[in-house]
Amino acid sequence: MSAHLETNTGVDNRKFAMWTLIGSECFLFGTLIVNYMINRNRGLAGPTGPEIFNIDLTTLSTFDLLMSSVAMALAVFYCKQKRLRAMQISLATVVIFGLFFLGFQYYEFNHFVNEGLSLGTNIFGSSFYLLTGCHGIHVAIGVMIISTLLIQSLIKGESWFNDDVVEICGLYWHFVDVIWIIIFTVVLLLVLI
Amino acid sequence: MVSLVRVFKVALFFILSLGFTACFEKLPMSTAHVVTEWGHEINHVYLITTVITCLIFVAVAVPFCYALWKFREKPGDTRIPVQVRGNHKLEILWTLIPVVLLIFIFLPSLEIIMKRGAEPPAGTFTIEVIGHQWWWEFRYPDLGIVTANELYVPEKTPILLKLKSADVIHAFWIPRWGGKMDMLPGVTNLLTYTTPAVEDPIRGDYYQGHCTELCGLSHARMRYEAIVLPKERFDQWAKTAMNPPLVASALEKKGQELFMTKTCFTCHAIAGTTAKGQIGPDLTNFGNRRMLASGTLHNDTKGFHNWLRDSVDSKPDYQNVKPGSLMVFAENFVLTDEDIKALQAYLQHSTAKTF
Amino acid sequence: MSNHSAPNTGLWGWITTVDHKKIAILYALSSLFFFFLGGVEAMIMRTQLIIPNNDFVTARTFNSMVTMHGTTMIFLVVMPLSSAFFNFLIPIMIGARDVAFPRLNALSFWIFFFGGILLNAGYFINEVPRQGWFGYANLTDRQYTPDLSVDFWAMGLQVVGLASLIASINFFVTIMNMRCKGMTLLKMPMFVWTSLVTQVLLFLALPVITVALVMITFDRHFGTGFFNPGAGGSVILWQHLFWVFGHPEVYILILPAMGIVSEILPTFSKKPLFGYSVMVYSSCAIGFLGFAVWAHHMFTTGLGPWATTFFTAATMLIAVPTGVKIFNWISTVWGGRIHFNTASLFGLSFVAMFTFGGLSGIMHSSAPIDTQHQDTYFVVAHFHYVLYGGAVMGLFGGVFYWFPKVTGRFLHEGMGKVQFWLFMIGFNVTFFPMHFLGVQGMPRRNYTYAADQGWDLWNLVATLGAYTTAIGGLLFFYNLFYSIKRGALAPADPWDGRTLEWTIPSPPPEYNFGIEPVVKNLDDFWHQKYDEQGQRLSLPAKASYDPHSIHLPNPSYWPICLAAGLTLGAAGFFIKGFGLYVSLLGVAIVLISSYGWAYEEA
Repeated sequence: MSAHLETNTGVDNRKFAMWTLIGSECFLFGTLIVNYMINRNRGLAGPTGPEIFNIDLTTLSTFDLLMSSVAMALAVFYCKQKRLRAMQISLATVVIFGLFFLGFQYYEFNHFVNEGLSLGTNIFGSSFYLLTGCHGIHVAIGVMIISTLLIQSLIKGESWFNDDVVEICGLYWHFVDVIWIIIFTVVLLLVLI
Repeated sequence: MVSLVRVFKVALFFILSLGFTACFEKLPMSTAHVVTEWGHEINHVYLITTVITCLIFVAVAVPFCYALWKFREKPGDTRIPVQVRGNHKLEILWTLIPVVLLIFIFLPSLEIIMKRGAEPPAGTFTIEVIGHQWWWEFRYPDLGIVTANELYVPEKTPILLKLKSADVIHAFWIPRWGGKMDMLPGVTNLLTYTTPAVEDPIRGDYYQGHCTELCGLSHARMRYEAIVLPKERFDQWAKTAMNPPLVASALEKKGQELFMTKTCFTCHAIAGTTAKGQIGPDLTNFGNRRMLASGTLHNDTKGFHNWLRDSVDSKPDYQNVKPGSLMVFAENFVLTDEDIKALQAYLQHSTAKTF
Repeated sequence: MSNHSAPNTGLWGWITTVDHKKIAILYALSSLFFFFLGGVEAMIMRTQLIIPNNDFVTARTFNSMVTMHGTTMIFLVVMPLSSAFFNFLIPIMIGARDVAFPRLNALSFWIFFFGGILLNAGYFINEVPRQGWFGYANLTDRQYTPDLSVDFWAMGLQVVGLASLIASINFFVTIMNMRCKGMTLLKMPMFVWTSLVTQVLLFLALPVITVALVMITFDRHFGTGFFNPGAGGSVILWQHLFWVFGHPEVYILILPAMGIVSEILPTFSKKPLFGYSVMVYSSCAIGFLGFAVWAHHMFTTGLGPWATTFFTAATMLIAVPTGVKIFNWISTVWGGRIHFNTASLFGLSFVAMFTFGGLSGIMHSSAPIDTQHQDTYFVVAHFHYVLYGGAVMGLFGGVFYWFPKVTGRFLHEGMGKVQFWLFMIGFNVTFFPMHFLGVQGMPRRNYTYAADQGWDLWNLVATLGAYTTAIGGLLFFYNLFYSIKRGALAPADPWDGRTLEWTIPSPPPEYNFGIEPVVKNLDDFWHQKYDEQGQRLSLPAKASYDPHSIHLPNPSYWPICLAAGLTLGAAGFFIKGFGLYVSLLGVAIVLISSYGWAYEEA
């Protein structure tokens, strides 16, 4: 309601709330990552990380998510420029890349389960699924929100240039992306060392 | 209203003095009557801390009460006080003074923490303490003894307790020895003591312990006793602790038969017999124990009868002696009062004869 | 009430309200309901312990009472009652017309309310949580607690936690962004400051418990073994996660009460808060250090000497900013003109009781001493002095202080004072002897004790004290019903207050301020009323305004729908057979409500 109100910090309320939420989410993922770090060498009954991780594939999905972040940044930029078609294409790219990422994750989880690492096999697996699953849910929510934006923009056309909303969604999306890079480093690259 | 405050403070004073005498009453689990070196060290820091906190209390209470009395609103009082907003010197002062006082608590605490954290020397007399829902298992690996709910130790000896748990978290605490330590499943915690000197060389000294971490329904019924014996009496105990029971009278014989047929043996072990159960407490030297059901009942005719009757007759989770106890029986299980008498003769007498 | 808000006063009006003042009342009423429930649980416990070997309740019931009393009082009483104060006061104290997100505010309340019911739903099927309020693993494992009791606890807390998270973000943004002209951060009332720190603690600490509760649910139902030593898990991990949240939680409970007392004491001694800036810094220091002391709950778990030393030192350090606050409160009343009424008595008792609890806290900040106190009644005495003598007494002070503002009527003073003394005496008679019981070695959470322990006398005394408190509590409820109908009418500024809420009528109009205020000083209203010499100034005539021109957020039923959907999603978990469909229905309702919400005219 207060998008047009003047605020003390000069930042829109909703954007400020998103930053606060991101602060909170940092603790959420921080806890999950610490939990993973503690548990990654514990109770290894089934396959372990180095045995089943497919670094190439995950690198590809990381790249995919990074590209979606670029597209998101473009969407925000075009929205401010009031270039409708370009913005819609960028948003669609974000959605498609996001869906690709989810597809990669589905494939990967499926693959791991086939290799014998399911949620309850060992604590390494449980922590891994908890961490990446939680991130996956965040991506899915992001995809849902951004497709809503896209649909709305397609319906309303030129009359819909809500740069605040696009920017806030962008914030969220970049955050989810940054978290993935940390997870990628912690979960996969540390295994290699 | 102010007079009420004063009445209240006076009452508080009396309760306090009554309370302090209460604190020093010699009760089985009183932390004020410690007997070990560690206990004395803790109480030394405790004393320092109490003095310091009492000083702070006076430093807060006196000006506070004075202010409440002196600056109370009197009838017809309409003055507007001077709007004092703060005084940095004062504020720095009462930031620094507590810091200094806290250092006096911190340093002796640090000394004990470091001392207690040191590794015990190799070859220290070791006892494994294993917590179960809701009883205690004590193992003496050097002596090959397994017993339950009564921890026998020789006097004036350094001992090392290896604390483990068979199920959930329990905590080992003998208040008069000072200090407690959690017993965690999957982890072994260490606790060292030098056992106190014996005051009663004939019976030995009994120190009561209690589980102090909520471990399920019968947490409140999870007690045990540590018994400090003179060295020669401890050796005597250790020599005979695993002796098989001597069955003589017909009643004892009947009891033994019942024990081996009425499913008791599936959970309980008695050395030298075919009973090798591991789920319940080891009953080898049962007759020698002062209490049964981990310090809940006296190990006499009444207690024994109560325990078995209640375990057989009550539904699990709603037992009277030990709610939730795993000592449960099938629906059609029958145990007559005569059976209980026979079991009692076997367990209380046959097993006690060897000591 | 102004005319155009009149149609909103029916039941539908309350359900769809987005007005922060109404939401505050909803929070207050539901927390008082849970206060009654938690009180009954406490009475059952004390009755059981009145004599040794009592069989008033079974062990199972007693353990449930222990668990639910703790959980209820913390999550469903002190936190929402604080939230009621946040809701009512923060916007008014900072000169705003509402919070930053009014509908989110309604959503937090409804999630909290349904979550509270879910948490207590175990009562209906006799599977009440009984693993202690901190639910130590692995007692919570299915092996040791096979029924659904732990799930009610975990799910309920999860839902209630989500409510607090949403609310904390909302209030944080409100305080940071919605202050009126001239109200810089260092001109905010102290209560707003402590609230601000509380919100930060909330949104940083809650994710940790969220993860821990998810893990425990996974352990119980999806075959993981995070806390199962048999599968290589660690029981200590739960304790770390719980207390990383749990210790900030302690400050989440006490900071709002500290803020309330920092408002009450200046008003009733007619002096500004002593050392305002130091109070601000000490609140921040408490908040910061609150994250660095969690393991002092775990001194007996075998942390190793270095960790023990660190947490001993950090815990002692946190006593310093707390001590500064106490001395500053004493200096606030020093030299003032102290008016004694129920509100100020509660406020002053906070200082006394909190000091007491703080001092016993210093005792077991030292790890060696703590090994003798941990899990005994000494600790029970300590945290009740802090949370009951502290937080609850402070909050009751707040109730008596702001009740005229909220309802336009005073709470009955006579009854209030009787209640205060019943509380004060009952409280001390209950909890002071618990120090002795602790020193005499009585472990907490024991459903009974043997007659050979020598604990009879003080347990009896404590129980009698608890009954005294209960009478006080009942009197309060009567007072509430009496005063809401027949209490004396209150003017806009009944206590000669210092902050903005006293500049507007009692009860305030829906838009709070007809003309948005402009603030020049800390305690601005006082400076409008009195000059530097304490001479009364005449207030300028109120400028007129047109209430109809003020835009107010529209009421909305989406928040309650969304909250209901969310709770339904969680509740499906407990229904055998078609539970999954119930959960999916809940998720569907959440989705529909979110879109309905997003496209609704705010």
